[in-house]
Amino acid sequence: MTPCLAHLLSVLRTSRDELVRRSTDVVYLTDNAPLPREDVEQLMRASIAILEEGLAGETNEVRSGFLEALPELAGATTLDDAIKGGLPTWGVIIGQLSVAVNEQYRDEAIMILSRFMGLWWSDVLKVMLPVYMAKGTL
Amino acid sequence: MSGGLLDELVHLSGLSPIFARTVVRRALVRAGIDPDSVQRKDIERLLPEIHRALTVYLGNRAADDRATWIRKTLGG
Repeated sequence: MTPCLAHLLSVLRTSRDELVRRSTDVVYLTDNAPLPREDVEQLMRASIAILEEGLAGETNEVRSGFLEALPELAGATTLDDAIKGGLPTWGVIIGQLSVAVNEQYRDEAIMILSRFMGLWWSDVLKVMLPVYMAKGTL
Repeated sequence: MSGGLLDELVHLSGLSPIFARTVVRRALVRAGIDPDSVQRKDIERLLPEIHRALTVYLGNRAADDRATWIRKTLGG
């Protein structure tokens, strides 16, 4: 594990509740928050757990559990809404984490987190797109 | 009837409707319980897995509270 990755995980683990609270607050700075606050908090917490699990490289239990829930979500939403609601969650978390890490690791951390987000959304789309295609709503 | 108990667990979980059912079903499977035939006698056996799942979405303290509430409401 690189020093940057270790630092990132340490920041994430020691400031999880603060990260969830601040990230949720950011979502509600604008008046177009799409979900109840409790739901957004839960999504933030789950996203952070997926991130922690992925960066630590130990399991993919949270990730696979969340992916398993996505077809149901795809059945109840449009692709537009899923992306408009979901992507900013990751943007906010990455922004908050990037601010929280030491400056010496910041650039590398941003790259690690951005790459992680890309891989995550690639998996998300692989699960959700077939549902939208079957519904004929793409 | 058992579908009713699954619905109650989903409701008591305090999870967002976006993923509550999937998360609870998955926790039951992990506990070795068929979600479609879960019964009240299974509550003690399923609680540790439910608690573990809730912690991911709610954090430790809220997951503790929810698990206690589920035991109080549905346990013998």
